[in-house]
Amino acid sequence: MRTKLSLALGATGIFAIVGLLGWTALAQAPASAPASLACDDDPPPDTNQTTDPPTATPINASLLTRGLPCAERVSTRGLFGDDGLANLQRGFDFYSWLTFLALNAPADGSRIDQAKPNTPTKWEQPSNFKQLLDVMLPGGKASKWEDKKIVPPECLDQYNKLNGKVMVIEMIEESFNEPFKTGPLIDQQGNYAIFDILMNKSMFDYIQKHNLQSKAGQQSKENASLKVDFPAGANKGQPAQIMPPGDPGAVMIKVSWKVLDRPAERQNFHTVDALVLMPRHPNETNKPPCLRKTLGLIGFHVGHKTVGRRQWIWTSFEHKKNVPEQHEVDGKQEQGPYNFYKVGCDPTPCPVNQTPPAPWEPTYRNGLKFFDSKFRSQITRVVPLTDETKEMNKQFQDILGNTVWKNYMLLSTQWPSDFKCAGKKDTTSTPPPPEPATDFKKEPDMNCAPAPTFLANSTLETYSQGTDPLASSSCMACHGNAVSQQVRPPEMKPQDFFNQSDFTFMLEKARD
Amino acid sequence: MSSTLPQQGPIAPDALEEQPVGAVTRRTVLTGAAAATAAATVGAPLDTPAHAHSVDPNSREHMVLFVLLSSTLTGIPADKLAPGFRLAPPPTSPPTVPEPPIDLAKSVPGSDPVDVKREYLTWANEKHPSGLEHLLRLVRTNLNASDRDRAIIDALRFDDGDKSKTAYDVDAKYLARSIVLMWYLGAWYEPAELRALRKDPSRTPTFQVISPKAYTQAWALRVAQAHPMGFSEMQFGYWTRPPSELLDFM
Repeated sequence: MRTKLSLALGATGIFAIVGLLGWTALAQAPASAPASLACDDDPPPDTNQTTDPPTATPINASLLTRGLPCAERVSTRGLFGDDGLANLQRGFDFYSWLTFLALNAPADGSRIDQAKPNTPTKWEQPSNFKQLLDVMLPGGKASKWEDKKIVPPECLDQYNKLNGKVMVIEMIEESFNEPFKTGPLIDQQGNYAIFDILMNKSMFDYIQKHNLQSKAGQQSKENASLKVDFPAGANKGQPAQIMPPGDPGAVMIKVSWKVLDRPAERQNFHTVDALVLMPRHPNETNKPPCLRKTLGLIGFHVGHKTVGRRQWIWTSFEHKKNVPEQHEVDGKQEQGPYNFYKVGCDPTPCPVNQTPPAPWEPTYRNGLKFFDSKFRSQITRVVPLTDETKEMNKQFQDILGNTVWKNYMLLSTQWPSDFKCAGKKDTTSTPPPPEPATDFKKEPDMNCAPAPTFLANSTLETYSQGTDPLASSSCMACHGNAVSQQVRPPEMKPQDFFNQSDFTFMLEKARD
Repeated sequence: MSSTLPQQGPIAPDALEEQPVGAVTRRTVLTGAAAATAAATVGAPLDTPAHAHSVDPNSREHMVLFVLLSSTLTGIPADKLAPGFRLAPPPTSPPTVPEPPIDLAKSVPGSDPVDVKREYLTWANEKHPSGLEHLLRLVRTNLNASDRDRAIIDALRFDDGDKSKTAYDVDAKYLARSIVLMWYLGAWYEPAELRALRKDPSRTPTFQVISPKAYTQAWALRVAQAHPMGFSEMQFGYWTRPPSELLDFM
């Protein structure tokens, strides 16, 4: 979920163009529906702890309507005897599936096991999640959660003709270029994969409260001593901050989409009708095209901060037909076709896990097609899913009926396995040090032993898969380095200054 | 990095016990290192015969023995080397006299996401199976000794010319030293190399970094309140601050 921005086309370039286009004249979309995603503060655990040994919680249709967990509910006791790590991992994976089901449940309140491919989900509702650029507004303008979506002028006519019943994705570099600027992902039809980032109301409110939606606000004297600390979700009985009932704390989502030009493909994906505004290009004099596309969900990340896991819980799902695992390729056991892999293509013409040739930026002329019309990404999964995760996936997929949701699988859940480490000084200090518990003055390694150590989604961290320390994708190791634009005032000692942004790169997106 | 597995109150009634962080100090760490080094500072032919592998890195008992051996050699508590490690039966308060015998089958070798111990045990077993078997047997023999660490160290502290010792004893002694260096440096120094170094201290020893993971887990750097070049999980900007306390690195 790395979202580092290319400032080359970032704030400055965008603003120059935006100013010319006159953002103040932009029309606004209709108000969103009321929020409908209250969390469940008594979520089911993965195992029944009243038996000895614990027994598995049945994975049946009753779980489909349990809702979004306010926090994880896990234990070192479980199905794997005294292997506490394995028991906890299963608990987190169970939590991740509950989270996935709740966020992707139909927005109209119907059951997910009866959803159609294009049934709108809860997370797609502006009342539940806002796209990042709808928060980080031009000029660093403050906004309210209830504010109407600002539709870019290039998309406005189409948007109005569709009565606003369409998702608008305004592309920036992060929408096509993967973390650390490692390159775009090109599907087997030659289209770019598209990425989008969203936050929930808890995150939004915190950002607005502290004026973090603007660079100037982050750099203000008032924020010099701020220790960014997003609200954390809690279950019943857990020590919690004062939060409204049903508030899960901070939740952020990153999704990846595949352009579905062929109608036949659309029955295999959750789809949205979208208007995709091409990235604004400083060398183009024309307005960027706004393309109406059917997009299919191929990747789904969730980051959720909880009182027990201040380093957030990192959930990663993807479409099961994205790529084969490398060992399947080695054993010629692929079961294609795949979205990002061509079965039988020799490594010479189809080198595996290689970035595309440059230039990487989409062009107005080619739309969402890659400039090299013959190029296709040839991607494999480097780190296979564990047998335990595969088994849990099968059980959850089995209760999703004949819907497209059975085509999605959990890759894993990354969580801080030594979750006390960041707060260990809290227990010995009198009075306890102030929040946040992840203050690196309290703990030099505030990631606290992520488990698993590495986690990569084939569509969102395609080119950083693997198990090489620092080089390979780790949600927490990467996001733990996120900072804000806060500035240390001259009178403040360096050791008292604190500009970490609490595991999110979103604050880097603030404009002016 | 990781000191224990997490637990949550009402749903983890028998969750893992956390050993006090204070159990590790620079003094104990360095004392352990010095003892291990002293145990391997004499020379003798090192001729490791090819043996069938009798140590199984996937065996719970063998892993428990290896962690205990490593703890003795390095001076670092077992549950720091292997987060989640615990012996069965657990210690009582006040201690039972005499202490009940350790049950290897019920002891927990630890479970942490890094799990470098498995890499080390596998590595040592592939390099010197007979020597490792000898060392683990030594731990097993002294498992319930009143001072297990001392008993093991004493068994490895002898002159290479000691006629009462077999070639296996000598091999095991230098292998023990390699294991110490493996934990502290994340690198493998062949026992024969160490023996040659003993004879010629001016020699520059060769070594092999065991793996990228091992490179990041070297205890020498933690003891020095530092991190390996090119790898740090510390917060952005940490370099502007004084180093954190030693215990923060454990």
